[in-house]
Amino acid sequence: MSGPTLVVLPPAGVVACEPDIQAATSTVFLLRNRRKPGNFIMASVGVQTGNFSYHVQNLPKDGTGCPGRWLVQLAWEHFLRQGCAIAGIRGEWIFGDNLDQVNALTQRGGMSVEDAARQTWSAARAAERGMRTLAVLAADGTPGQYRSIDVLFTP
Amino acid sequence: MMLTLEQDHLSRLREQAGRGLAPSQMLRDLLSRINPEEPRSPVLAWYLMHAFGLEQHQVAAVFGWDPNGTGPLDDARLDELLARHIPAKVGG
Repeated sequence: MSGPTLVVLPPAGVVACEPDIQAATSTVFLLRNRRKPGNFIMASVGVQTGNFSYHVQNLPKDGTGCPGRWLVQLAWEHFLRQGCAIAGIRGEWIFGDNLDQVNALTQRGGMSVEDAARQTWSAARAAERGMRTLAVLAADGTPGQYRSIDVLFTP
Repeated sequence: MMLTLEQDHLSRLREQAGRGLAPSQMLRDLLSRINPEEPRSPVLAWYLMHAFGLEQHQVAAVFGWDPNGTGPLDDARLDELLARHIPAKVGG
């Protein structure tokens, strides 16, 4: 354990957000909230692909902690500062809110998996960064009961 | 405090994968060796990425797994998902 301490101020108005950057390299960014163990982001950019991937969490969902949207923005800005040319945003949804939302929207003859994936929280974050083209690379399961979905957002 | 990866742990992961150890076993062993103060799932994911040259989405299962069995993914599912990526990297 070594290296300089990086400081980032939490957004105004949030409760129990004390960000602690624990890794900030050219390929990995890790920030956790000292005040809430279930609140962190880990993000990376693939050396070969240039794809940005992240896992952001703020549990329990009690309205406190560092907001996920803000954490994604911090990670994104970190890699841009590192000079990364980000080609796309890659996701492998195997549990959690994105997968739950796709399953809810595709059950009983609802949306296609592509349309459902465009309604997710992560799709909104991708769109904010100009990544509006979605490719569903793989989907394991059936509508309403997907076990995993691999996605790629590109400009 | 900035985190760094220990070379010994990386070598051990590669050696364990070469012996065919299940990813869940490898991660439990790693957990017993790292500082318990460090954030668990991000550190495990980072070690796997670095040891096997993987991208983060390929180790996403780690974030849904808990060694105590309380996460959304159990050992079998974790092993199934990670084994897609790890063996090819080790066996060469």
